[in-house]
Amino acid sequence: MSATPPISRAERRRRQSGLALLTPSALLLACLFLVPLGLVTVYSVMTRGTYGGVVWQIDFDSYARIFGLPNEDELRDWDFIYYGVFLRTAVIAGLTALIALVVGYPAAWFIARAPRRRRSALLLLITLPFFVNALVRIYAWMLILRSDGLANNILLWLGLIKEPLTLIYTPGAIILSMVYQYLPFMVLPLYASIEKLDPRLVEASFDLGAARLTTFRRVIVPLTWPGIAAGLVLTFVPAFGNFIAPTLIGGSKQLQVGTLLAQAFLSARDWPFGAAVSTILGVIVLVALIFMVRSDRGAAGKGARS
Amino acid sequence: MVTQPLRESARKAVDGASVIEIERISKRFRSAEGAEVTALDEVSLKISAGRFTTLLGPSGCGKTTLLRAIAGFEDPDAGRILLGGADITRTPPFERPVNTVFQHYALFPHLSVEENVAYGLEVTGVARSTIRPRVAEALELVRLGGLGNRRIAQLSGGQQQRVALARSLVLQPEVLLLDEPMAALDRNLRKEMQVELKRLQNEVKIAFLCVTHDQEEALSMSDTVVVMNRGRVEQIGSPRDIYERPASRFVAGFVGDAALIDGTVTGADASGAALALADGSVIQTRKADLAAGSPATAVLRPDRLTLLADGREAPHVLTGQVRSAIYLGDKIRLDADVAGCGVVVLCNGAAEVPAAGATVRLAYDPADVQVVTQ
Repeated sequence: MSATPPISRAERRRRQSGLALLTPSALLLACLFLVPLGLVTVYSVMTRGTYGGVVWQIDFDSYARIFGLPNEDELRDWDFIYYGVFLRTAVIAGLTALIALVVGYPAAWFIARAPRRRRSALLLLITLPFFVNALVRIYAWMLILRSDGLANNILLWLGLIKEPLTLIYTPGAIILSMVYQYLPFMVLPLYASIEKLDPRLVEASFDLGAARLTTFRRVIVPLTWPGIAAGLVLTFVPAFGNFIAPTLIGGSKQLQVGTLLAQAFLSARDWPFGAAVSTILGVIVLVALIFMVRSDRGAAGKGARS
Repeated sequence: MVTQPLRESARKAVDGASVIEIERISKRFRSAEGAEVTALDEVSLKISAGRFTTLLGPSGCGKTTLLRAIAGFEDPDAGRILLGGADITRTPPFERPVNTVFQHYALFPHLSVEENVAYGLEVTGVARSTIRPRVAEALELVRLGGLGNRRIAQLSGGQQQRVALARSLVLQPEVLLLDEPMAALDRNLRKEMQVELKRLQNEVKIAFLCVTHDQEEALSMSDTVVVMNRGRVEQIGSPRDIYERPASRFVAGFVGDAALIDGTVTGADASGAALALADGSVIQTRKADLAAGSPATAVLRPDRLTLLADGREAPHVLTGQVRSAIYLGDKIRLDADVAGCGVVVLCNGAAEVPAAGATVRLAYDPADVQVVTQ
């Protein structure tokens, strides 16, 4: 083992100024993120207050309910309903992220390979939906998807269908609206990665005998993996906790985590239960993030091992 | 398990027979300003099997476009490319048995040295069991044995070039295309890699087609040099042909320093001719078959002119004014004005350095005077 080399004064000063630059965002995060997160975690193990809020008495029953354990005091038997809620939400959020990837990748590729002066205009177009309030956009989707809405009218007029289809209040509608909502979060990191990809590497792959699909799989995907991973996380995480889309587009027909959370706090006034749901949600998101970072390092570090 | 050893790979084409034939290919681009640029103008060329051929020309002469057309990255507007007699003009790059060493090597940064070299074998479905020995052999060939596990970022420029060579050569291409292979290397390494490249080519006997704008590189490595200018082939020949018997004024001026002295042919006969210059003086040449009365340019290499000291006489002398003289140690580089044309002379460093504006007398041998008429 070698001793740590002594740190020079200039090096120490450089590190200190680095810390100073970090301070505002660290303070902001501490006040507005870590403290509330701690509060939520504490609430989740407290007893429910009758009119909302909590009674400061430790009680793990919220977690017991989520995990489906029986409780004789409350006359509760084994009940695995919340596993289904989390699983369904995960599938819908996962599909949203994957569809956004499939739709977003070609778009990001097109923008990254467009002439330089046209790129910023195209990127602006991608972010254009952000200029409209999220709720307004959701209502627009409701108008498009409902049974006498735009989509059905067009399909009827074209003669493709005889009866209006049930489009709204389906999982498909939820996914569609969320793909639309989160697509920019997919396209922007993908664009950043693809733009950095040297086109000569693609040519080199062709030159060495790899056809298009092989080149995509073995050169383009590994080298743009940071963008793919970031895009998946940035769409999967908000889709998992989203409650507007399942409520308004999904009609709350099937319970999702976001709806469950909103109900716990707003309707049932069961704060500890809501806090427990959101803590578990946080843990799942954290696991997803760690998984992405790991796989990213795996892809980038391939070949480093000897 | 039979792997064909790279060193003695039996080429399909016999040494010297043409492996690639380019028939009148043309390519036009639209520039950023919307103007049409002709990169290739009905270029025809034959690349010989087992030989080192160089495309030499200034930037924008079309040499890189020609290389990329052979690799399959540019679609020519007209003309055909034949490989071993088969038309490959429309064949996609991944189906052509040619491989490229790219200008900045384009090595895969996410793969190790070994994985880079194995890439082409893996994607073309070579049996797994033969990949390892072939990769090891290719790395040995470029003298990188033992570095197989390194990452690309850990390699020097010269080592990266060797990996790029191994990655292409391991596939035993019919032709190896090299796009300005020395451009990313510093000067000393360039000299070393020129020798190395020539050694490799001798060893594998694969046809090399190398693009460069460096005439010294072209002369030192090639069996055949193709000089290109403005999308056209100016001359094809051995390095000695190109240097000593340039076919055009452009070739004479581009390949090496040369005095280009314009004049008019007078008194041509079978034993030679004389060129009348603008200032009324005459330059003699042994070159025959020149039409009297036509304009022509005399070409003299800098080392074939001798600065005459005062009082010395020579049978053939040109007179000029010194524009500048630079002392280089072993030589003196003299820029002079002869009959309105710029002339470069390299003379012995022991001579007196003439002052700017001085009149100098330059002796020459008519046998050294080449004449170009276009």
